Amino acid sequence: MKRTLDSLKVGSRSEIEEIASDCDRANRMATLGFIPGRIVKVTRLAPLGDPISVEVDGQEISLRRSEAHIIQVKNIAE
Amino acid sequence: MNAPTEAALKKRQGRPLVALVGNPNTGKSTLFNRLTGLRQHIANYPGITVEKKSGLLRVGGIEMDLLDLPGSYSLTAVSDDERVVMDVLGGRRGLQRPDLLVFVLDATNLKRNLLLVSQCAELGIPALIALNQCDAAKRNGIRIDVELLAKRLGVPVVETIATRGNGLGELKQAIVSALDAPSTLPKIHWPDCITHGCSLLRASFHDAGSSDLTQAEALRVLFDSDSVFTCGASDKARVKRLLDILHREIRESGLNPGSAEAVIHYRHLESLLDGVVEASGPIARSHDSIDALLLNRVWGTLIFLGVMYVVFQSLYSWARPLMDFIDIGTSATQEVIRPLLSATPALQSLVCDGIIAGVGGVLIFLPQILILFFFIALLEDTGYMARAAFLVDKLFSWCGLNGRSFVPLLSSYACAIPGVMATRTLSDPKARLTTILMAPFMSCSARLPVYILLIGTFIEPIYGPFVAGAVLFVMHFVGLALALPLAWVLNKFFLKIKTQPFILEMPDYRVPTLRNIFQRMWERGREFVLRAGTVILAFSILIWSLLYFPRDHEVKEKAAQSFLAEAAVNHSPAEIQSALENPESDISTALTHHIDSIYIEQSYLGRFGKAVQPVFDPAGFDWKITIGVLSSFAAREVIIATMGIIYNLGADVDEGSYDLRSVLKKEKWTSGPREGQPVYTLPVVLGIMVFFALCMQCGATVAIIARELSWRWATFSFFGMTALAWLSAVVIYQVSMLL
Repeated sequence: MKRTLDSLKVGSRSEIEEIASDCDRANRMATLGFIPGRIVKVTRLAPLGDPISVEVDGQEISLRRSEAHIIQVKNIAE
Repeated sequence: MNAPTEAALKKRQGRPLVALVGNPNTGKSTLFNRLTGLRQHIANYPGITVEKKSGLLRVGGIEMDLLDLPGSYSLTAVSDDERVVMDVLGGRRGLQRPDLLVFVLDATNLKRNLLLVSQCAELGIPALIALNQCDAAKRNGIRIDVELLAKRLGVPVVETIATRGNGLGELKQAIVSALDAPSTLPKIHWPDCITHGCSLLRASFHDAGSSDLTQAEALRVLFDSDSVFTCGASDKARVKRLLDILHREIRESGLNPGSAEAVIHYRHLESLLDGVVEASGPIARSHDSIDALLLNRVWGTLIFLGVMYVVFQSLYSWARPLMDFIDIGTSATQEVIRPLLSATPALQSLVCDGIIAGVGGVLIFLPQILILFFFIALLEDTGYMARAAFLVDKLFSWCGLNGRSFVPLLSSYACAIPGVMATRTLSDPKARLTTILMAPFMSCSARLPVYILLIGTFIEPIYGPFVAGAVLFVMHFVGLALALPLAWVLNKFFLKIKTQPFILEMPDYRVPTLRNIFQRMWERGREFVLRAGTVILAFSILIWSLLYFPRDHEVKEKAAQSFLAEAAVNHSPAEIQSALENPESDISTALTHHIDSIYIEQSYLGRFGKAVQPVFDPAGFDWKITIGVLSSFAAREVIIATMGIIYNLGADVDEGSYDLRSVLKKEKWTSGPREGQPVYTLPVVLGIMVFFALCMQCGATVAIIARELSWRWATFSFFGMTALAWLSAVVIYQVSMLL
C-alpha cells in the first residue's frame, strides 16, 4: 500500500515519490516545493492533531492532513 | 542620476508603472511602504475584493506609479481573486500593463521565490530583482553570489533589507536605470509536449472565438485544473476534451501533469542556482528553539491564550477610556453648538443629533480599529500570527474557516467593525468571505447594555444572580453556536468558490519596526474614516431623519393639551402654571418627555414600527419594542435611548436606570387579545435578547461589509441575519406559549 505524508509520525523523514495528479491541488503543492525526489520531514503536529508542520527543501511549511494526503512518500525512516 | 535618463523618462506618455511582485512574507509590503511613504492609494480591483495598493515613487525629478501586487507563490489562477496578478501582468480587463517588474525575493528561500520569477519570464516584461532579507540569509549561513545571480538571470539584482531601509537608494536608482535600459528574464525551455499543447490550446481558443490566449495564459489553462481562463472559454466542454488529450500526451512523455510545471521550473532553477547559493552546512534556523516552546501542546496553547487575552482585553477594556473621551467630545460639541442654533430647531437637531452624533458614531470605532491593527501588525511582523493560526486551525477547518479566522472573530466580540477589517489577513477568498459573514454573529460589546437591562430587570430579581450570570454567559455564545454550523452550511451548499489549501509558512521570528506598525494603523484608520465612515454617517443621518420627521406643530399642541389635562387631575392650575415657568421642574420635564414620546410615535419610523408590529407580534413584541428594535438598526445601543423616549423618560437613560427598569416591569398590553397582560414576559425578554444576539442591527457593520466585500453581500448578510433573528424570537415565544 502506498504511504502518504499524512500517515507519518513526527520526526520521520521520507522521500516524495509522487503527487496525486488527479487532484486539483497538485500543482499548488508542487509549486511550494513538494516535488518528487525531495526529502520531507515531519517536524510537528498542532495541539489538536491537525495541521502538521513539515520541512521540505530547507523551508518549514504547515499544511492540513487532507493536503498531506495527496503526497505519496517512500524510503521512510521513522 | 544622469541627465539623459531623466529626459528620456519625462518624454514618455504618462508616468511609468512599476509593479512589485513576490511571494507572501518577503517584506514586499514593507518595501512598498518604504518606497512610497504615505503617498499611497488603496482601492479594490474592479469586481473583486482584492486590495489594490498603489503609490507614487519619486526618484530625483522622475515620478513613477508603484503598484504592490498581491503576494502569491505562483501565477496559478483558479479563483477570480487570484487572477489579478495575471490580469495586471497581461494588461487584461482594462488594467495597465506594468513597464517594469520588481521581484521582491526572500534571500533565505531563494529557490522557491524564484519559481514565480521563472513563471513571469514568459510574459517578457522588463524586470529587476530586489534580494530582500539578506541579513537573515547571512545569519542562517546562506551565501549568495549576487553578481553571478544577476548574470544568470540577465537582469539587475539589488540587495535590500526593507525593515531597516538598507539598499533603498540603490534600488531606486536601479529602477530608473532599468526603465531606461530594460532587460528581460530568459524564458524557460519547455519540453515539446508542452509547447505543442500550448499552441493547440491557443488555436482552439482562437477558433472558438474566445478572446485570444497569450502563451502565459495558455500555460495556466494547461496546468491549473479549472483555471479561470478555462472557465472564460466560450466552449468549455471542448477545452476540457482537448485538455484530457494533452494531459495524456504529457503523461506519455513521462511527466505528471499535476506537478510537471513545478518540476520543470525547479529543474531549471537548480541549474541556474548552481554555484550561486552556498549554505554552510545544514541550515540552522533561528526559530526552531522558540517554536519548540510556542508550538508546544501545553505551553504553546497557554501562551496563545495569554496573547489572545491581551488582544481581547485591549479591545474590550483598554479602548474604553479613548471611546469615552470621544463620547464626551461629541456631547461637548453638541452642547456648544445646540444653543447657537436654537432659533431653527430642525437645523439644530440635524446638526447636533444627526451630523455631530453621526461623526462621533464613526470616530468611536477608531480606538478599537487602531488598537487591533497595532496588535495585528505586531503579531504578523514578529511571525507569531502564522503560529497562532497553526495552533487553532482545527477548531475552524470543519466549517470552512481556518486558523487565521480566530483573530477576526475574537475581535468581533469587542466590535464587528475592526473584526471584519481584520479578515484582510486571510488570503483564501472563500475563508475570508465566510469569516466576514460570521463576524457580526459574535456578541459585540454594543449588545451588552441590552442584555444587562433585560437580565437585570426580569431575570435577576426572580431567579437570582447565579441564573442571571449564566444567562449572560449563554447569550455571549448564542451567536457563535449558530454561526459555525451556518458557515458549514454556507460552504457546503451555497458558496461556489473553490477552497484553497491552507498552507502556512513558518517565517523566522523578527523584531518588528514601529514604523511599519504605525503605518499599518494609519492605513487602516484612514481607510475606515474615509470609506466606511461616510456611509456610516449617511446611515445615521437617515435614521435621525426618520425618527425626527414629520414634526407637526399640531402634534406638539395636542400632546401638551392632553398632558396638561391629565396633570390637572392631581395639581391645581396655579401649581401647573408655576411649574411650567420653571423648565427644571418635574412637570416641565415630564411634559418635554411626553412630547418627545409622542413625536417619536408620530415619526416616520414610529408609524412604520406600528405598521409592521404585526410582523413582530408572533414574537410577542408590542409596537414600542418594535420601534425600539427598528431604531437600533443604526446602532444597537440606540435602543436604550429610544426606549427611554418612548416610555416618557427622556433619552438620558442607561441600562442601569431604575426608572426604565420599573417602567418595563409595569408595561401592559393596552389592546388586542393580550389586553391587561404584562408585555415583558420571560419568553418575550428571551426573544428580544436572542433577536439582538442574531440580528445585524448595526449600520456600520453593513457599511464595512459592503466595503470589504460588496453591497450584494452586505444586503444578503443584513436580511439573512434579520430573518434568522426574527425566526428565533418567534420560535422562542411560540414554543414557550405551547408549554
